[in-house]
Amino acid sequence: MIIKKRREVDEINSSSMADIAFLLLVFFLVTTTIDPGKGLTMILPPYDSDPSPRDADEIVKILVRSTGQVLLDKEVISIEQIEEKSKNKVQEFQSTHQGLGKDGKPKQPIFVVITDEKAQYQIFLRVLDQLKLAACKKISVVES
Amino acid sequence: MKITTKPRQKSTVSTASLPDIIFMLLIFFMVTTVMKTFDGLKVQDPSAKKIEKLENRKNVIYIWQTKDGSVCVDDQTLSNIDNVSEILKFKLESSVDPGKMVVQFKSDQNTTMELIQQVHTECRQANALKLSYAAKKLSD
Repeated sequence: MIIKKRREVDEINSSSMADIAFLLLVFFLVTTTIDPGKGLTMILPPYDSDPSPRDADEIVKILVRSTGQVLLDKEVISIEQIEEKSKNKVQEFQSTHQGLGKDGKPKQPIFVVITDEKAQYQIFLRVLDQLKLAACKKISVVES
Repeated sequence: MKITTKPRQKSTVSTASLPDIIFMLLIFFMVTTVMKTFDGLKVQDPSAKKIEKLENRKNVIYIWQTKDGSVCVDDQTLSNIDNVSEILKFKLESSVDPGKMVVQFKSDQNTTMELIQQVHTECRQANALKLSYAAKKLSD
């Protein structure tokens, strides 16, 4: 005769679940960082620095008018064109000014951004953005 | 009459629901916590393509500027823009590594350049030379 044993219900030991939850909590507490924000970076010159005189052919002037019109070397252009134009200017400059600069890299022209007092910040930033996209190293902003 | 006493069962408190309680607490705090950051002044960010993320929140000083010229540094609202350099100087001096400090500048896209230039000058006076113009990503 076969006697069937009554099967006991197995229980999963879940006491370590609490530890896992705590561990997750601690992990996320430690690793979460709050987004500090993003933007276009610029390095300003020190306040008491005296701008050394430059040759006129070293400078590329960019004018921003109060109407939002942008002029590159006295030529009216749209903002999207600045990237290409300034790339050309850099190449042009480097072909006429052979040799390396003080930092051991090819010489770079200086892009001077002159803005009207009433010009909009948005336009100025777009111009700056275009110059950065064109990998211009020397950007100068004229203070009125 | 005989009184029969039942053999006492060994009783244990079930801890199976403890993780549920902890998860619930975790979720409760996750949902309810609001990071205490000063929202600053209400500005409409300009847009740009080549934007970079800032590295560490500890090394960032925030400046807000509205188009009517009111300025706010971190959580102080200033009546006069000339005070910006003093506050920046103080903040740089009290920071651990002044060379790494970045000024995140948030201004409205319609602000005139006249006001922007004033902030530039203030930053230069305070020797806070790393500037980041807050901008949102401009899609192509």
